[in-house]
Amino acid sequence: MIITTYQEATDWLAKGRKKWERPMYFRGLRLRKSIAPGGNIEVFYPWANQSLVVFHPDDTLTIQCQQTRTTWGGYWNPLYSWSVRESIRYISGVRGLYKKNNKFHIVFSDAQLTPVKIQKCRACSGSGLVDGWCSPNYCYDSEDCDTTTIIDSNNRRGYHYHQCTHGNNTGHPLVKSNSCYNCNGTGKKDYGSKLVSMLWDGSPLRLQNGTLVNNKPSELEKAIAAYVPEHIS
Amino acid sequence: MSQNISVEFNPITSGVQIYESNLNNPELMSAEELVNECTNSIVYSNTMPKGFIALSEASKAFREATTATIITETLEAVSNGADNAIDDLFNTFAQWLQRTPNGTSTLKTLTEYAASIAFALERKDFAVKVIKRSAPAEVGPTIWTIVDAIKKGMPGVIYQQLVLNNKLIAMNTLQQQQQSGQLGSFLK
Repeated sequence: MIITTYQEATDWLAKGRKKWERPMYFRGLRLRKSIAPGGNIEVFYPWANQSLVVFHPDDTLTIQCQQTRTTWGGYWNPLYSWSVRESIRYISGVRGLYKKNNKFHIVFSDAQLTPVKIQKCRACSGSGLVDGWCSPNYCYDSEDCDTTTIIDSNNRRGYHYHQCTHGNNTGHPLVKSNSCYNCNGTGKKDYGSKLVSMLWDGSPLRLQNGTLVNNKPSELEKAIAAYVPEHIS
Repeated sequence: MSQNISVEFNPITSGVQIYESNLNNPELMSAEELVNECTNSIVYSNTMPKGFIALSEASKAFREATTATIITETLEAVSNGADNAIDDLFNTFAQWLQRTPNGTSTLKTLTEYAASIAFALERKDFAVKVIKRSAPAEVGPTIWTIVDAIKKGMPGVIYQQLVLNNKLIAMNTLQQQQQSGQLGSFLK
């Protein structure tokens, strides 16, 4: 069972032996009560010694993943780990959390779509047709089939092959014979309508039902969140 | 100078100076007038217009536009020869913070203004002092953003540039909020 709400977290702790900390049996995470007052419950990630998700009593949660120093003096963000990203995604209910060009993108559950961008299909170049493939026909009838078209006429065990309708003994391509798999033969496809993501550097975000609580980040906040110090970039 | 100013709650000091203004009816003023009204009273008169906190809580765009304008006006005052303009501004915020009890939304809003302006004007020590006044659970995402910027070692000048560059966007957003009647509904 993956804990996703404050109530579930409370119940999980109540059934444990220590009542304030219990393993989640999920990706090495541990659930524990916050030391600070407020009744929060944290999902603790021992490997990076920090809490990834904090459940609040008002049914909201905070996700965070702070940059840490490595033993060798560099910086490391646990978000580079796919497992950490998946843990946060599962527990918080956000639609997606992925890495692209070494930056982290978060897709909230109410993410908007980018504008529709209908263009010529990129698989069939707008023709609606793609190349096909023709292979010799497989046959298991050892008695009554047309022997003139049999390819392997040695000992016909359980099966044999016939020439294809084009008279070929081997497989061969068929130019522009099939309806395009990408656009269903229409020749056009929508290359827009993609989910809008937000750059995230691991700073705390308060969420409810996988989306930001009453506080959409402004352009300024997005710009600050996207700032990468020179010694890291 | 700002290192020595206390921002802790001091119940002995009197209340914040508030004067009547049209901020309770934000639909009657243009976005620019709203922002300028607040900026002038804070920077030049060291007083807080009535409805300023409510409007700041209602609209993040208003807060960002006002912050940018306060920074611009203060820097302009300094360049015009008012050397103490920055210290006066922080003294005003410090006084307001001293008069505001802990855990209130007024403290949250004032903290956002004071920390943001202090960090942009390269008074990181004052920004940190102001932020430390509130418990982590009591501050909003704006403060977390500033904390994050400080932690990442962002220079104050770059933060200032981001704030000033964002002014036009914030002003447009504020205008849209005004036209759609959002601000009035927030304040009621």
